[in-house]
Amino acid sequence: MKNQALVLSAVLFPVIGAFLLPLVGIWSKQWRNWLAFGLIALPLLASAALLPAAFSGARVLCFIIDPLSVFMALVSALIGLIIVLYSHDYIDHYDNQNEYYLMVVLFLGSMMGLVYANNLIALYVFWELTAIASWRLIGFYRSPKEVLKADKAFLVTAFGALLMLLAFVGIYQATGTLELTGMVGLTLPVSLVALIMAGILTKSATLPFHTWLPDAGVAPSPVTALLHAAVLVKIGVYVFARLFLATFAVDAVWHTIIPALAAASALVAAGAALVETDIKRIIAYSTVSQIAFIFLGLAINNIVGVVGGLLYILMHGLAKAGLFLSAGIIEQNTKTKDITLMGGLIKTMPITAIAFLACAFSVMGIPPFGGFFSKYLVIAGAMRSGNLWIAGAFVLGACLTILYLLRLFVLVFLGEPRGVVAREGTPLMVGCVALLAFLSLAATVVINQPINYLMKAFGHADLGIGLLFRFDHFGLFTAGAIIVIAALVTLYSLVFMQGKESIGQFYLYLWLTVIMAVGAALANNLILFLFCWEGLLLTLFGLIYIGGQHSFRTAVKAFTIVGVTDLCLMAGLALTGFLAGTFVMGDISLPVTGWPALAYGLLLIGALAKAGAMPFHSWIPDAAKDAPLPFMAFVPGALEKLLGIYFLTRISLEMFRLTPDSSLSYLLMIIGGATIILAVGMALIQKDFKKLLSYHAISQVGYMVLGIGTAVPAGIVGGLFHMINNAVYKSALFLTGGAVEKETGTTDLNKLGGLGRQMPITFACFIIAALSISGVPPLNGFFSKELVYDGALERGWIFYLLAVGGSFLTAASFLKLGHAAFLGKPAAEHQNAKEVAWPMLLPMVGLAAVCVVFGIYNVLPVKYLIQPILSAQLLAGHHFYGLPSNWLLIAVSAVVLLGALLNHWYGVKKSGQGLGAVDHIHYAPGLHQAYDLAERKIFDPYELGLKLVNALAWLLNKIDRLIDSLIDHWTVKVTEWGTTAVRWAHGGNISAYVSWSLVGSLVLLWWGLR
Amino acid sequence: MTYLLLLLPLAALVIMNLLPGRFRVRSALLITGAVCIIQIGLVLVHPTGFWDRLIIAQLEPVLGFNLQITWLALVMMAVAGLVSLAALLVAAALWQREFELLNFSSLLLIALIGMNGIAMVNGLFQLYIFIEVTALATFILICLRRDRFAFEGVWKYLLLSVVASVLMLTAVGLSLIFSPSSTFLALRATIPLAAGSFLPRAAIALFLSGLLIKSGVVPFHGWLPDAYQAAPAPVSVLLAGVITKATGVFALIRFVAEVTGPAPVYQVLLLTGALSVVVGALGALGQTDVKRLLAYSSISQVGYIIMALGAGTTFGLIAAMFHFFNHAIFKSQLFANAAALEARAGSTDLNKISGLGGRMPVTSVTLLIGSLSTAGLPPLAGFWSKLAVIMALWLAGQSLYAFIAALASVLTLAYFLFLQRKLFFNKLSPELSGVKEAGPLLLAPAVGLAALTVIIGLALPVYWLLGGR
Repeated sequence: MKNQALVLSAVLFPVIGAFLLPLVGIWSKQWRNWLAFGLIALPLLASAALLPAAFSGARVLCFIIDPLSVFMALVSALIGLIIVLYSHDYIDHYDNQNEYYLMVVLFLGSMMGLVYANNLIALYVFWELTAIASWRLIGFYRSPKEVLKADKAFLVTAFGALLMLLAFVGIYQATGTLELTGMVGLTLPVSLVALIMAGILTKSATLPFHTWLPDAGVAPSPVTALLHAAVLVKIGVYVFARLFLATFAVDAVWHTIIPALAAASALVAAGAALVETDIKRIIAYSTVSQIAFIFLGLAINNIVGVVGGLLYILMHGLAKAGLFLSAGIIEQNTKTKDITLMGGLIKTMPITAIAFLACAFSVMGIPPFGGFFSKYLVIAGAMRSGNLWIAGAFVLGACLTILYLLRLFVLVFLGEPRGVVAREGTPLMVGCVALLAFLSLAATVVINQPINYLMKAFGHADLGIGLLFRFDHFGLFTAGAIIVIAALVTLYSLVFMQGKESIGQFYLYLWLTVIMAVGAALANNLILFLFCWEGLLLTLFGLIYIGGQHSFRTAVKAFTIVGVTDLCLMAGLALTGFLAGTFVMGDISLPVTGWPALAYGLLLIGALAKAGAMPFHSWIPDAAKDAPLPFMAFVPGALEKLLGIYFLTRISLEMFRLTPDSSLSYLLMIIGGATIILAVGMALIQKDFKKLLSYHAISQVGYMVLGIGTAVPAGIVGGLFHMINNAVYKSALFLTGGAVEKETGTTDLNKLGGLGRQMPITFACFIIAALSISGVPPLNGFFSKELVYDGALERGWIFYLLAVGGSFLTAASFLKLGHAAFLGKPAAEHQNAKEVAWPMLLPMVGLAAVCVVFGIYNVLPVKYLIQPILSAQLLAGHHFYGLPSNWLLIAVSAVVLLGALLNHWYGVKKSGQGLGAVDHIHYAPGLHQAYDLAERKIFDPYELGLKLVNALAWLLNKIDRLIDSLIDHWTVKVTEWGTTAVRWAHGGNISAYVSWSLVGSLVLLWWGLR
Repeated sequence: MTYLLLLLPLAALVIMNLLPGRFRVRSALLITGAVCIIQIGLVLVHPTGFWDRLIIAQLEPVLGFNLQITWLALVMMAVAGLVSLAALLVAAALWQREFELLNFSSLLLIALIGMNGIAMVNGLFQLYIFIEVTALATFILICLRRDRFAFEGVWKYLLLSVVASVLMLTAVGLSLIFSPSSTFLALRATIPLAAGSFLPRAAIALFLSGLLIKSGVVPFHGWLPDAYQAAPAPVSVLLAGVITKATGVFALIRFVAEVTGPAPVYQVLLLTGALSVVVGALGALGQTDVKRLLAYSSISQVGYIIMALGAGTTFGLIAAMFHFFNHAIFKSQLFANAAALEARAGSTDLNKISGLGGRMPVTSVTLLIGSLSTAGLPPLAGFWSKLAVIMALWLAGQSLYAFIAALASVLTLAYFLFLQRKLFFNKLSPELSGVKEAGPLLLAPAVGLAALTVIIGLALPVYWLLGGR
């Protein structure tokens, strides 16, 4: 009885109370506003009170209490409540406020009715009530343009609703009842499903009925948040769940048709979002695109997808409401919606900007925001259903999501102001936005509650997303290395970052990075691993962003590349978990043929991109210029190699059984070889300390990938050893670069020279690290490279040649670098450069020492750090420490190093300076042109990718416009023809009227007498 | 006592015309109003025994009408009373001239007699007579104010009515050939017997044609928009709300339900109904005059009623009557709104008026309610009857027509949204800046009828949910 009273009050109070609001409003605005708040708070509280009884299935009148209805009621009432609160300030300066509150509360009340409805007609009645309310809300400003768009929304949704009503009548004919509980299990014929889908697709703004939604962006922002992001468009998907998941059985063909339609919707809308310039239209298109993900999850006939889809409703609702409300603050304060006029708003409205970004991350599905889980589950569901094309389309859609939301954020908040200035919104409005962002974040903490609730709702056991760690040797060692280097970098930064802006943010991001990275290294659950791994995106963005005025471009580039590849990783993990039947990483062991090969390939993309191998490398050189140096030393220099190669090893050796005869092994070696040679080729010609190093950071990854890709013991051990060594000497090199920058204020080699005398310790550290990276014995780099050579030669001389060629160029480029920076004549303006302070020296010296120790006593790392990672049978009969066994290889290496030295001597002699030591290679015929093109980023996969995406977006936008013209233009046109015909017939000629009647009578007579 | 419903208006008519000069107009209005209210009251209370108990036995052989009260008749008479009252209020609010008011009241009473007759008679010929009584009163009502425009409108109506009369009268004549009398009872008995033969079929076809002209169903509708538009405001309320419905649609319902049965005619009904629905809605979309738009809307809505009847089931008949009732309520309300607009803004031309939402809030809200009800949006009365129509069609196996019925609602919604946009949402045109909301007398019918629409719409589901069926 108590529960029934709760349901009734959740529906009736807002629906009836709404009509009191205008009356109260005549008397007092304040009271009206808070009454409206109360009328939404009531259903929220009532629904919360219903949670314990959610599984009772109790019914009252035409309403039902079940897990689905309680969940949806809670979600929509919660978001509605925040939006109403926000409206208190937002709507304050407009006419017709009474009508506004009436319609908002009526709308949410009807939503409650719809959610709890257990009767088809009740469902329809509340469905249309929401349509009426949204019609008035969209046309709130009442000028012809707005009213026209409101009418469009009303007509399109009414069209769908009426088709759905016909289906309801058909269902009534088949069952003799209107109660949903009386129809459970009924299989609906295709025609009725199609009719219902028409209603659902129009309401949830899915292709081809979606264009009313962006048009409805003319409404006030809280309205767009309420109707078009958080609640209204969720009606369709909710009813889908209610009818096709909880009630009817449908033909299997729908499990393909609907996801396919949703995929088209996701892509077309994302394309349009990339092209549009109106902030609210972009967000609205984003909604269309995201709704498709929900449809995918719900329609894919898989419990993981279903739970993901429903969870998506919650997460997307929170985040999208936040986006729209932020857009409201921006729009109200800038008086424009055109993003091309905005820019740099983060300076004046920081809280809004951060909340906006947080919500955007949640929509993109980036941890630690809640949207991550829903997106993962939906993609996982799609993978499980086996419909790869559709899953692929959605992964592409998710990539586009990242692109258009970043584009929006950048154009609005970053860069230089383009004319529009604005101040922060009122505390209440900003508070609401921040609250939504916070809720998106907080949802992560309790994520298992909704997931397991929804699993239970469909009669399934809990889905474990547990904090499952494993502390095996490899993980601990990787985590340890990360922490040690992070500590050294932090120590170094104490001096280096002194006096810079955003230093607090720097340490925050740095150690968040460490936490996430350690989490990833120790995770033993695929989802936990993914969470930590993808979580690095956020700090990556932050660390580059704080580098300076223009570094956001690089931040965006890095975020985009890594984000897109992380989505591939997400898909790969979902597939892996499904194929292996477990999410515990340690229990997975798959071959690399058929489906698992695809999973492996997807994981490979993630691993390689993290490690910075080609073709996912191109943000690193840019970051060298823009990001703070300690970031370079730590993240691309050490952490990403450690983590990327860690994961590459995990998947190649443990989770999958990569064998030398597999084509994927060749693929890995090709990528490794190409990365070595191309990146080092670029490093060779660089004239900037940091940028030169950054290309080496890429090139060195090639050795590791090559080593592990050989899939033979020597190569694998070499790859792993090289991973450790690289982390050590590459950080050391970056740190010496930082020391130079600190003292001279520049890293441009043209302006440097002769620093060796002024900074002897730095120089010494540089020499050790440079020798190590060049593979000079007895330093650590020599031993790991020899192992990689060994492995590569075993698999094919071409790979060996690439590796050795890389070494030649590496040595040549470091000779040039050292010569230009530390030797020669001191530059005049750096006369008073001196050695840096000890907190900066200590990390350099420490790392250089490790280079020496790990070289001379290579037994230490190899025997105690690396070999325990590998299985005993892999290592059987080999030992990899001590001096290399193959003297021939050593001889070749020695010749190569000697060659590099000679080359340097020749170059210096020819050009007359250290910096010009490789000019004869740089300007060699043929190479010269190639270098020029590369410098202009012609070969940058990112730029190429963006061009491709822009072309795709253009095409998708055209499709979108075409569909819109069908609805907006041609439907109207055809109706106009009919209207014109009727008008023309009614010319006022009475004899015509009489003759129609007589002809009609004659026809009737003929018919009757026939 | 059935005769009471004919004699009461007749008596009132005589009395009020005999009254002395000074109070004549006021008392005429009061008496006419009282007659309407008594009629509504009688219908609502409708004590079953009452109708039979007080038979004036002597009258029966003289008049020979053999009046009967069925549920169809009750609905019709309730509607007649309600809409007449509304029209009377509009007239009282708008008109001052004595002879106009007096004549209006008198003619209204005559029309009321005619409509009550249509509701209760039981013979084809009597039906014809009362249709003509009503029609005659209507012709004069339309041109009561003697402007040229009205004469043109009424001329078209008159001309087509004459055609209809000829057709109907011929049908009555034919029926007397194959049937002993033209009473419904006799016809119902003979028509199935003579099913295959020429005469009954011809009679049915001709009578049906006549009724379709009177109803304004496509393609027999040519006169209707002109007549509705030309009629002065109170008359348009009456004409659109009830008169054409009584003389055409309701008579048609009775003819089909009580004489022919649906079998021979249902295809005609479905086809012309669907045609009306679509053509009427398309026609309404292109109009720039409120009253003309509403006239086309009437054509469209009558189509729904006819289609429901064409379903051929009892449910279809109920749906038809339900929509008939609702349509009378909301359409007369919409014409009352149009009257308010005409009175205050001086025109019903959509190109001349705009942005009145803030100026005439009551009119705009009631017009919205009427519009949404017409378009069949829940939870208003119009939704339930339209749902009933669609269900009746679908359950009768006519799913194609159910589709047309459902989708035409989008067109209906479209023209009403257009109307709202033009009238209330645009910027206020400067020459209308002095416009004020209509007075209480003029608002009363609009508000009352809109309230009825809402109440029926809400009461129905509540009644169902609480267990009533």
